[in-house]
Amino acid sequence: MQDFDLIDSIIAGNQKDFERLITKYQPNVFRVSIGLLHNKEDAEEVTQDVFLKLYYSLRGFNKRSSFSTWLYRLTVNTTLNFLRRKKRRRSWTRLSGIFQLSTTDSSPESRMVTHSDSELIRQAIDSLPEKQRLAFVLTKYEELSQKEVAPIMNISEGAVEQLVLRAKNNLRKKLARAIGLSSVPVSKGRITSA
Amino acid sequence: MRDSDIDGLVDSVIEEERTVPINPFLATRVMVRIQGRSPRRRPLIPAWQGVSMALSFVLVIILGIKEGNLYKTAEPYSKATSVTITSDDNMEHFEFYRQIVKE
Repeated sequence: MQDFDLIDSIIAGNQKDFERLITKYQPNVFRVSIGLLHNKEDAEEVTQDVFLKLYYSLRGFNKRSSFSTWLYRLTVNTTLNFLRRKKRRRSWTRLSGIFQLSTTDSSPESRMVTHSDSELIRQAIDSLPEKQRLAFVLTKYEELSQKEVAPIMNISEGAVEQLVLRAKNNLRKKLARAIGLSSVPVSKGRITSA
Repeated sequence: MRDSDIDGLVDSVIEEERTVPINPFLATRVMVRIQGRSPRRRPLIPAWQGVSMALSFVLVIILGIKEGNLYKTAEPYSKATSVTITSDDNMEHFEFYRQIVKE
């Protein structure tokens, strides 16, 4: 059954087909969310929210773009909203933490664990500008082509290419500095590797 | 360390996150939440029942007010009481009683 047929069936009231749609697309939604959030529980929460929003807005889908493009857009927007809410909550927690005694374990061992290479790489991805991060996550986590990413981000293929290139260069610079590596030459040409 | 080494590190972290298993009950959970707040569900009290309930409340209040007004227009004291108060005999009796108290 094609996506559009599934959607028509769901709109007609067939909830079983919506379950089929979730099963088909949940890995894609989850991968994009985890790429932006780096946390399994948060990514699952966002994935649930995306499908709930999808169910209630399915009638508004005009079928001009492909269904997957529309779903990716919904996923990106929901995840970014979740991130903004989380940041606001975190800054409030930090503010309230000023008035409490610090209980964080700052032993060298714990510092070593939290600043492991994987954590540093995740932090480096998170610190990228929003558009670069989105282009990077969609191409690397979801392995979408620039042609597929362009309509999701509403930009040209060339712009996607530039964003991914800049994201990779920024990551190299940040990681070289953070991990304490020797100066890493930043490539200026087109990056062909995935 | 070269570009390719850093790219390799980044790729390994990405691969690690890409292979995180999804909760197998995620689809079921979404379906439960949808069925829990489905707009097509029949309301607990149909609209006409709510309207008739409100009308009956209004009717009871109006009847109560009317009943109360009827009570106000009736004679405030019974005839027997008013006669007792205005009766000269009784007033004399009352004066007599006051004199006894004074003495």
